Amino acid sequence: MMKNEKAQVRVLEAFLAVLLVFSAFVVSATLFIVPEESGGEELDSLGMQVLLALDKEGLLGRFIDEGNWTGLRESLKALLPPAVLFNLTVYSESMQKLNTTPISNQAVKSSQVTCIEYVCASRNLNFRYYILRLQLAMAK
Amino acid sequence: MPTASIDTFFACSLMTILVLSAMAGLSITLFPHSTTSYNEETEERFLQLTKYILLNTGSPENWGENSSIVPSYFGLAETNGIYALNIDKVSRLNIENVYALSYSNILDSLKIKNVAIRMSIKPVFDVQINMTSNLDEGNETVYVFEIRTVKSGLPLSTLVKSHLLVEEQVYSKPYLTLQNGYGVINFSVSNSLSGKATLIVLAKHAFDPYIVSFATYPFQHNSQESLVEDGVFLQLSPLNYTLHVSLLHAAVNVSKAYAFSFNYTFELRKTYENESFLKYTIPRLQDISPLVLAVTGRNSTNAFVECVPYPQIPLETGATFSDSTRSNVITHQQIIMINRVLYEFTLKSGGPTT
Repeated sequence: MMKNEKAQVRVLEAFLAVLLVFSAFVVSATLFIVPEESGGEELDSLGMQVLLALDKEGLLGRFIDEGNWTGLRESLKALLPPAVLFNLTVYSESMQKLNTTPISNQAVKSSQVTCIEYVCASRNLNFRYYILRLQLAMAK
Repeated sequence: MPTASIDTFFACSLMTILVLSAMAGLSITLFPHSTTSYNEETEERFLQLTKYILLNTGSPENWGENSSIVPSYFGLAETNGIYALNIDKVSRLNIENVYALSYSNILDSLKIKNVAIRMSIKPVFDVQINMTSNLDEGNETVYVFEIRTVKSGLPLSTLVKSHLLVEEQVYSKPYLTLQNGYGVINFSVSNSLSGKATLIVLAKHAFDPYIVSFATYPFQHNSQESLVEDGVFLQLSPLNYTLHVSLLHAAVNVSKAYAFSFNYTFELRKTYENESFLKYTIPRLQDISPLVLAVTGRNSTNAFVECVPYPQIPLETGATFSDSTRSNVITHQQIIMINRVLYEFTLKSGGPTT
């Protein structure tokens, strides 16, 4: 009887150990945060590249000075891949929205939108600077 | 055997099996995440490689323009340029240039091991030319061409300038606006001329003057000979604002050389000539445009025109990634500027199979 009791306790111990190992495994799995796959950094880099390329010879500031929103939109369309949706808003120094028409290829409706802020200085004789907010998303 | 020993043995076996299975399960769960971390490191490393190539001039700094120099350190940047590449360094990546660097030269000067790379540079948009009709009207033949300017298959509004060369004759058309990236041009070419002719089209983005592209379209005019590709009679290698012309056949004679930019056309001045080699000076223009250089000449019987762009783009050089010997192939794209014109640079990098 005594021997049987000891055996039962050992089996019970084994099951408790099993329970412990499994619970540790389950808890550790839930604690592990899976990093979300996103192309946010790539879009960020792409957007910055495009704005820098446009600003390199002062064309970006010239478009804004002249209020040439169509030119700005078409230039962005030419430099960004067609699968990238964009929406650019131009603000003055006092954060007033300047573009009278939307500068976008399509409405940016996505759960993952990257937003880039860029400060552009006009090369005009009267010094001005503008704040540009470029939203980018991948078309689905 | 006592019952207790059997129970202990059973309990220990159960414990061992469960611990092992737990360890195996854990390693299976964590493996993808450890691989992701490895990939992120690899991606970062290759991103830094792209930046290094585009932001460094290499050593010596003038390795591009001097055809005899193989760089000890690789870099494509113009001196004092940010993402601005040197026209000659880029041209020396094109394998059609007689002074091109070999792939091993590039890898040696990059001082990296166990990495394969493939570089490509191309204009931001494409110009497509298609001949739709040719009508013989006695003294002359009328050619009609469709021109399309597209980016990734989507039309792009542009302004185009076109020239047609036959023998030594240059026909030019006024600027044409392609509203939806489509237009038609026609050329009437005298039937007193014959041989391989070439249509050259330079196109500029309707709003951004720094986005320029071009295309050439060779065809036979007034001749029954089959059309031969560029590079059959001559090897054209522009470098350091000099066009180096190597004659590939003894029976070939060169008559004239021209440079076409978006706004200007020049006849090039010959500075050197021997039996198999000629040199022409290329003008340094302020025009925001690539140059298309055209050389006219004759083989034993027929006239021909051969063309080369300067910078010698589009180009693609390096390893091929079509086989399965490489893994972790990462692609980085960057908009770059060469002589104030924007292009797309792509670097594919890959390490050995892990």
